[in-house]
Amino acid sequence: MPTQVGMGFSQSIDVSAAVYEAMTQTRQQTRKYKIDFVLIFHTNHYHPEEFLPVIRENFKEAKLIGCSAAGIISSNFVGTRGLALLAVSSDDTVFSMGFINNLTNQNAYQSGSLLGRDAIHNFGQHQRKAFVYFGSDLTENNTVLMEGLRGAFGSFFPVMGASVNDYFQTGKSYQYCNDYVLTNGLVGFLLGGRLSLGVGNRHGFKPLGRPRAIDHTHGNTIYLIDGQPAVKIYDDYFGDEARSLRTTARSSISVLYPLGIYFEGEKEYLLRNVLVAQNDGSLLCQGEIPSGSETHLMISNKDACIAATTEAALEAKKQLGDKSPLMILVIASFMRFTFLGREAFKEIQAIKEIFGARIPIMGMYAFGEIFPSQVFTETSVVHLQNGSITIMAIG
Amino acid sequence: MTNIHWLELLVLIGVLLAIVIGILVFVLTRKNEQLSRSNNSLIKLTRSFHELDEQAKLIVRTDLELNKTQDELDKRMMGLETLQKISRLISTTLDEEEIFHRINQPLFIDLGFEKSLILLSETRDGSFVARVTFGFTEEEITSLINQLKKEENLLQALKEGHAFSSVITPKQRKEQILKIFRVEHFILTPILAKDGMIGLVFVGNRTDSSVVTSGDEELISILANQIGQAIENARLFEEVYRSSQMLESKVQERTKQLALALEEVQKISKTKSEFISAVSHELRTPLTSIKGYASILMSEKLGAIPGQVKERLDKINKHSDNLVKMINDLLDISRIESGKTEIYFAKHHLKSIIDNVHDLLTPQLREKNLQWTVHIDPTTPEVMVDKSLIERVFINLVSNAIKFTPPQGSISVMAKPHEDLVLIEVNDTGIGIAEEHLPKLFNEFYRVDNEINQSVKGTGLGLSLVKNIVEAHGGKIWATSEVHKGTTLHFQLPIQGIKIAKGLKDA
Repeated sequence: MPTQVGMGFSQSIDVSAAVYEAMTQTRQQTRKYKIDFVLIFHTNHYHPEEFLPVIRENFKEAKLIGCSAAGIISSNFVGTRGLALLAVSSDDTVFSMGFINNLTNQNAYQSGSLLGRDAIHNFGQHQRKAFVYFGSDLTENNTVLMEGLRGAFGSFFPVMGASVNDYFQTGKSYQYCNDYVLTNGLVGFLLGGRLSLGVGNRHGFKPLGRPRAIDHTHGNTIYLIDGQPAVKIYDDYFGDEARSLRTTARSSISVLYPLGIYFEGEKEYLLRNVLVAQNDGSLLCQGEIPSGSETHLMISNKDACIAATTEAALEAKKQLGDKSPLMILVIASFMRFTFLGREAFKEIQAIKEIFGARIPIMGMYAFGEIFPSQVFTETSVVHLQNGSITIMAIG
Repeated sequence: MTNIHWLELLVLIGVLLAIVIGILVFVLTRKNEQLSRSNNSLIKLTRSFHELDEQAKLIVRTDLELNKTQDELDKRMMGLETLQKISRLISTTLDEEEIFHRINQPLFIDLGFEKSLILLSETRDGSFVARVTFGFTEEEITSLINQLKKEENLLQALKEGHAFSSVITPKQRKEQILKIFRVEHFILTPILAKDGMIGLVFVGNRTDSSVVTSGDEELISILANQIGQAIENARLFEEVYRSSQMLESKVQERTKQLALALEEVQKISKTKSEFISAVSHELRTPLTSIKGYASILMSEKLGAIPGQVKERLDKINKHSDNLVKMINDLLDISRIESGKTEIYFAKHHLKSIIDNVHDLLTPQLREKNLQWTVHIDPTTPEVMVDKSLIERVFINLVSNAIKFTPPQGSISVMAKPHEDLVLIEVNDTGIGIAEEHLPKLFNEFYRVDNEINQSVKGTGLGLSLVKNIVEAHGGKIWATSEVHKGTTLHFQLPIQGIKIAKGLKDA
């Protein structure tokens, strides 16, 4: 049986109507095939307790995974309200799920390890291709968590994912795996079998001004840059305008001008959006910062961002080789959505231009994209990215 | 010798040293120059580096300004697009429920506010009912409606048409609104209709990252106006609809009453026709005898009669003739009304019918020296009529014209086709009929009160019979007149006749 992919999306205010609409669209595309895997992304306008039982009832035998997101990406829509459903029926692709509840900084390594082992447990002898996970909040502990995952999968296994919690907006996130609904957990799926994967990630920002040295960091907080309180880098460039970093969480300055951290050999700088400037002049960032690294203020424009999306799509297509893509999974930064504004959908158009207009695209806007650096190889170092777009083509 | 050698050697060493020192001085000088140049370059490079960084600062500040402008523009465009969509949706329905159903879609969210609320003043005590809510829990809505009810001065200001926003509202009022709606940035604007405030539109954001702007104020104000207009239209439509329903029900009731009345009238009319028919038949037999006996006596077959008796018998005979004519007319009217008259449709030229009538009435025309003209449009086709009945129509109309036209006057008959009808006029230069008599002219036994009618006897049945015949043909008849100038009787007949002629009722 050939692999069948169905996608549904709804923005309806009424949750029942939204679920019905999304499921109907999905069913129209997958017809009567038995569904093996269902992936759901929803904004916090919908509650999993309300829609999950209905979806489970309709896709009884399918493995189901999903999470809340800041925004939804589908073939025809990007926005901050919606419920999207992806259903796969395939003999060639194998899925196995795992989940961990109550993630904390203290148990991050153990959580990563258990999550990986949980997913491997029912996977059998099939060829493993990649692991994708969604976590409540990975801005502080993702490196340790990744070490745990590497313990389960080995150091050379591709792992991707997204950090989905947004403490400054909704204050709550959901992750779910089959019948389990979590609010501070991790869910992930191991993907394998006779399939091909191609993945690309870019952001399109360039360094501006002179390089500066990050002197002192802890987790996702930068204390000193060039021996001075970290916030001074923004004060220098923006003067009074930089005040918004102190008063507003995730201010527009942080979205437009993130910090870029230089890594030898990488094609692009690693981006870090500043969540807020704290009273002591330190910068709380959306992801861990390596101490002693070189940093720049970064700048971009909409065209450069969309061009970066095209590059990421081309990279994914290149890795897919001569296999035809069946679906595209997109994990993009919510900052990117804010940055692009009315032109956010152009990213999806750019992906369609590479993979064809009829390709099913499903994705989400996250607050941290987990991607193994710029070049996806099995030896790449995993980083929690900000401001980037990850395009995963499954063929 | 040895001393000389030592001296030479010393000189040589001295020279060599001088050369070396010279070279060293030269090299050091060159190095120093190079170092100085490098130092200058480094200073220049450092300066350029700092200048570039300063330029970068200028670039980012300019870029920030551009981005802000772009953001504002994007937001305005998005808002306007959404407003346009909402306007289109709500302006195409006249159902108040449907208006809110249409607004209560993700479109409203696209306006870009975290919290939105449309409240309508629908209850008798003037408190609000939430019709569209986004970002509020039910408890929050109940609580804010209750609080709003207590803020009389705020409500009064809204009723007067004032809108408020976190951009321009005075501090005290702002705090009052923030306390009710619990947001940092807001716009609160009344929905106004013809009779004053009918509701409120509220939008707001909790965080500083999404402050409202004066552009948002304009947008929400336009939206509130459009909602107000749509609701007013819907309510007006509902009112008109209800009135029309009431009117329709009254019309139906009245129609029913009229139908019953008509039925009653028809029953009476039928009874009358039957009565007239019966009486006429009963009268005709003795009249025939009276007329017969009078004729026998007048013929003097039973013996000579004195002149005075003969004169009286002649009167009996004449009155009997009048009475017979009246009875015949009544019988004809009764037959036509009851549909008992057989109408034999056939194609006839109007000219031949009119000529026959002219032949019949020539003596009377001559007697009064009346001028007779006929004009029949050459395109007039043959008309499907019962010849004898239509002849009676013309006889009646022309006789009347002769009767009421003074000597030396003129009578004309005209006919012309019009679509599927033929229009006919009988015109005279007679004494004319006052306007108030015209509507009753075709009523049975109606006689216009004038000098001629007072002196000449008549039944008052002629025009009624004419009307019945014309209508039995599917046509209609009417009169126009001017006193002292003349009268025109107009009638029209269908060229193709009517397929089934049953008389007045079915025609």
